[in-house]
Amino acid sequence: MTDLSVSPESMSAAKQVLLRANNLTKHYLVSQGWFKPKAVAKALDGVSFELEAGKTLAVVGESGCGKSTLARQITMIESLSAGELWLGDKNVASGDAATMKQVRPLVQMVFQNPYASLNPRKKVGAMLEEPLIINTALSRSERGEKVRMMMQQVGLRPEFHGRYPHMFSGGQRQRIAIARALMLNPQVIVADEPVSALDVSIQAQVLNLLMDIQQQTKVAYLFISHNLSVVEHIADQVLVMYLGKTVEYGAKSDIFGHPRHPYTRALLASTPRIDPAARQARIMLDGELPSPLAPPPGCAFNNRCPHAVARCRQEVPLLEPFEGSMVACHRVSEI
Amino acid sequence: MALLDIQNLRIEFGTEASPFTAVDGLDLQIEQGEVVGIVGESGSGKSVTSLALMGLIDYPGRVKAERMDFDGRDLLKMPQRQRRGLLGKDIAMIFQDPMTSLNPSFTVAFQLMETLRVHQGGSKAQLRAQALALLKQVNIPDPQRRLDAYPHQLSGGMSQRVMVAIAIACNPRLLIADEPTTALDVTVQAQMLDLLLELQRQRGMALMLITHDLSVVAQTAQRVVVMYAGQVVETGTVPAIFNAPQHPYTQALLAALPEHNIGRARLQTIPGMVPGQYDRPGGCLLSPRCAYATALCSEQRPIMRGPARAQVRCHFPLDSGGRPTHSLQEAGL
Repeated sequence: MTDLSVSPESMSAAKQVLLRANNLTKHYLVSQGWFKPKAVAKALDGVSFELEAGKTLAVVGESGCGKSTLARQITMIESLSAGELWLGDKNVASGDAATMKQVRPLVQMVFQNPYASLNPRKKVGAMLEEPLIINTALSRSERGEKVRMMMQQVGLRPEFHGRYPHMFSGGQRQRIAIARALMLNPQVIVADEPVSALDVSIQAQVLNLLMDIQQQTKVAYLFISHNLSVVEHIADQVLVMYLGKTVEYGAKSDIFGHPRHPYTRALLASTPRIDPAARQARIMLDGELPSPLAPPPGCAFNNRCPHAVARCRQEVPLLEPFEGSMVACHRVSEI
Repeated sequence: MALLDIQNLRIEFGTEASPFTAVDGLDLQIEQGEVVGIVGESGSGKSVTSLALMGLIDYPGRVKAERMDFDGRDLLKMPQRQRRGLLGKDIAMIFQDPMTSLNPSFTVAFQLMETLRVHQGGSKAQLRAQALALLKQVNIPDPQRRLDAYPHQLSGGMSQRVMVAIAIACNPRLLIADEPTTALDVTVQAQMLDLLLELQRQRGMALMLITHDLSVVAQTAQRVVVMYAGQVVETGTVPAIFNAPQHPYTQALLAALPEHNIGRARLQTIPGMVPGQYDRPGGCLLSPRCAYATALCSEQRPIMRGPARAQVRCHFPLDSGGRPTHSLQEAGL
C-alpha cells in the first residue's frame, strides 16, 4: 500500500520490540480543600502496549484522556503508581539510579509548542550540544561536528548554530526540537502533538522529516495527536484512549477501516473532511469527557455511548481481542 | 445590497515611514444569511481583518478603507458612539480561546446580562430569564445551575457555548467567529459547528468563519475567501475552491493535507515560508514559493481578476484540470 509498509520477509525477520508497557498506572492525589480527604484521579489506569523499532504507535483521544500522562511515564519524568515499563531487558519501574542513567537517553521527547520548548536565552548550537556534554565523553570538536551533522540532517543550515530560537520560524524551531531529541541516538521518541501548533504547509514538511528520520535510524515513535488525519498518515498502530483506559488498540488499517469501539467510531465521524464522500454520518456525542475524579460506574463511556445497556453501567469492560484488534466493549460483537 | 461591503481595506502597524502592512487591499462582501469561510495560514491577516471590523485595533495600528459598509452605513465614518451601538448587537464576535475571553471574576449570568443591559435594557429578573433562555438555546446542560457558575467551573466546550450565547444575545445580523473550534476536541468541535450552523439558519444571520482548518470550512461554509500574506488570493464557492482551485497557493495548500495524500509515503509540501515584514517579494507575494512562477510573477504584482464571486489573484490562473495556463498562452502567442 504505502512505500513505507514492510515486506512480509523483513517483518518476520525483525520484530524488534524496543519498549513494552505493561499495565501502566498513574494515580494522582488531588486536594479537595482543608481537612477533606484527598481524591484520587486515575489519569492512567492500566494501559499496555508494545513499541517496535522503526514503527509508529499513535495515541489518540480527547483532552483529559491521559495521553500526556502516558508521555510523562514513558519518558520517565514521573514514577509509575503501578505497572511495568520494559526498555529492552530493563524494567524501569523498579530500576535503581544506575539503570535509570542507562535507559533515560534511550527515550527522548518532542513537545507540542516549539515557541515554549526552546530556551530563548540559549543558542541553537549550545542547546543541541548540552545532551552530549552531560551524557558522553566526546571532545569539544567532536561535539561540534555532531551538532553540525544533526542540523544538516533535520534540514537546518549548520551555519545557524550561533543563532537564538527567536530568529527561527515555527517550523524551523520544531526542527531544532527534533534535532535535540535525536542527539543521543534514542530508540524511542515520544512526540506530543508535534505538528498541531504549525500551519498546514509547515506541518507537511515536519511530518515528512519525521518519516525520513525513522527510515534512516529505525527510531520508534509514540505519536500523540488529536488530529486523526495526521495519525492516519503517519501511524502503523493506533491506541485509542478514554479516561485513562485503552478502549481500542490495533493496526491502523483496522482502526480506520473498521473501527469497533463506539468511541472510536464517534471520533472518526467527528473529524471534518474535505471530500463530501469521505464524510460519515455524524455520530453525535453528547457532552464531554467526564471528570477523572468521578468517572461513571461500569464502562467509562456509558453516559455518552449510543449503544449503552444496563450491563455497561455496572460492569467495567476488559480489553479483549476481537477480529485482530483489542477492544474494550461489552457489545462489540453486536454493534 | 450586501450586508457587509468592504472595499480596499488596508491595515498597517509600525511607523508611518516604514509601515508593516498586515492587510493589503482586501475586498469582502457578505450577504444576509450567508456563511463565508476565511482561510489562510498564520500571518495571512485573517484575524486582523475581523479585529478591524470590530474596531479593536488601537494606535499605532491604522485601519484605512475606501468603504467598510455594514447595512449601507460606513463603520469607519460613523461617530464612535453610534458604532459602539452596533458592535455586540448587530455585529458580534466569538474569539478563539474560550478560557481567556470570559472574565474570570464574574459569573456567567453577569456577563450574559451585561450585554443585554447595554444594548436593550430591562429589569434584572427579565434579563436573568433571558440569559437562562440563551443558555438553553446553546444546549448547556443544567442551565439554571450554570448561570451562577464562574468561568473556571466550566469546561472548554461549555465556556465556548457561553461565548456563543453572549454573542447571539442581541440577535446579531453578522456573527464573526475567529477560530471558534481550534482550542476544542474533535467531538466537541463537531457539536460546536453544528450549533453555530443551526443558530445561523434559525436566525438567518450571516456567519463569517475564520479558520486555518480547510476541512472545517469545506464542511460548513458556502463561500470561501483564501488569504495569503495579507492579500485575498482567491474567492469562490466551496465546491469550486476545493475541486478546482484556480490559485497555485490554494492548490498547494490542499495538496499538503494528509487527507489528500492517502497511500503516499511523503506529503506534498510548499517550500519556504510566508513572507514577513522585511522579506516581502516585489512581484506576486507567492512567487518565491510557487511551482509555476515565471519572470513576470517576480516583477509585477497580480490584481484580482475574474467574475465577481470567483476571483483569483494570479497572472496565470490554473485551469479546471489544475494545470497552469502560461503554457497555453505561449502557444497562443
